[in-house]
Amino acid sequence: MDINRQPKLEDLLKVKKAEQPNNAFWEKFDRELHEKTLQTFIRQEPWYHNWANWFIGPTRSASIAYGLICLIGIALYLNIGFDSNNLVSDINSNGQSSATFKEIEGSVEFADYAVVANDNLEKDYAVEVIAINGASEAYDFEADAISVAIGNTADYSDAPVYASSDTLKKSNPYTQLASFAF
Amino acid sequence: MKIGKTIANEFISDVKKDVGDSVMSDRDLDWAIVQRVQNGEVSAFNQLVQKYRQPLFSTIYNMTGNREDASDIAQEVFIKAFQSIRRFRGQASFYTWLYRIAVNSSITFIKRAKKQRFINYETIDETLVSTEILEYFTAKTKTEKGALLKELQEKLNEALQKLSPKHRIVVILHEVEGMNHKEIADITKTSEGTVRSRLHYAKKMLQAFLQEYIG
Repeated sequence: MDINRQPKLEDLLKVKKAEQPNNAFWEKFDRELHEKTLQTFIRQEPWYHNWANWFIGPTRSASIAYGLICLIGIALYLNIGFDSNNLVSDINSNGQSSATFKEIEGSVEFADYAVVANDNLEKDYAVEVIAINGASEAYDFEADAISVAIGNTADYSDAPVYASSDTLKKSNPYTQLASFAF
Repeated sequence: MKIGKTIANEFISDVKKDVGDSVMSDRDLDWAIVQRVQNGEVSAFNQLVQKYRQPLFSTIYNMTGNREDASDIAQEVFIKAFQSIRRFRGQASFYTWLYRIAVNSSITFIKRAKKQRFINYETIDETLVSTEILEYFTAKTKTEKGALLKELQEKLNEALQKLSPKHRIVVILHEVEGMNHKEIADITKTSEGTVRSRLHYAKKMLQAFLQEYIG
C-alpha cells in the first residue's frame, strides 16, 4: 500500500488479522479443551438415556420378547383368576346351589349321574350341575370345578344348556361340572 | 485455502507414512487424519486441533467480539467435531465441516446472548499490522502507534458488530480469513450468488461506518 494513498476498507480489515492470542492463551486453551474432552468421556448419562439405550441397543429384540411374555403371563393370570372366582362364588355363596342339589337327587337320568338344568338361575349363564347320586356329604367344588365350553350356536343364546351323557366326565365321581354358556 | 499451513506442515510427514508419498492436498491430509481418529487413534485428533484452532478462534472471535466467549465456543466446536467424527464421511472437506459447526455455534450464541453482550477484545500484535497503514494514520492524526491501533481496533469491531450475523460471517471469512466465494457458500450452505450479494451489502455498510478512516 502506498503511504500517500488513503486506505481502503480491505486495508483496514487486515488489521483484524493482527488480533492474535499469545502463547499463554493457547496453553490455557489446550488444557481446557483436554479437560472438557475428558469430561465428555466420563460424564454420567441420565437414567432415561440408559433406559433408552437398553431398548434400542443390541438387547432390543430380547427385551421386547421378555415384555411380551410378561404381558401374556399377566393376561393369563388375570383371566384364570376371574373365571375361578366366578365359579366359586356362583356355586358356594349362592343360596340356589343347595336347591340345585335337591333337584339333582330327584331327577336321575343316568345310571351314575344326575343332571339337571336349573331354570331359576340367571339365563345369561345357565349352569348345569352334575353330581354323583347320594354323595351329598362332601362337596369340595372349588378344587375340581372346571369350565366347559360346549360348541353349538345355542351356547350363545340365553336358553339354558342341557348336558348330554357324551359331555359328562365320568372318571371322578365327585367332580362337579359347571359350564357357562354366554 | 491456506489455513494454518505452517502448523500443518509439521504433521505432513507423519501423515504421509500412512498414505504414501504422493502429493497430498490439505483436504487429503485432513481426511487421512480423520480416518485415523475414526479407526480409534484418538490422539490424532489433536493434530486437527493444532492446525485449525487459530483460524477457527479468529473467526469466532470476530463474530462474537469477545475473546473469552470465542475461546469457549471454539473448544465446544472441537468437542462437537470429535463426538461426531464417526459420522463424517469425507463428502465435504474437514475444514468446511468444522467451520460449519463453528459458524452455527457462533450464530446460536449471538442469538442467545443478544441482550447481554460484553466486548473483550484480543490484543493486537503490532508486528502483523501493515506498516503502511500505521504510517499513514500516524502521519495524518499525529497519534502514537499504540493508541492509534487501539482506536482502529475498536472502530473496526464496533462496525462489524453492527452487521447482522449472516453478513458479518461473510465479511470475516472473505476479508479476514481469505476464503473464496465457493468455500464460503459451502460453509454457510448458500449459493455463491448469495455470498456475493451479502458481501457487497456488508462492505457497503462497513464503508459507511468507517468513512472517517477510508477514502
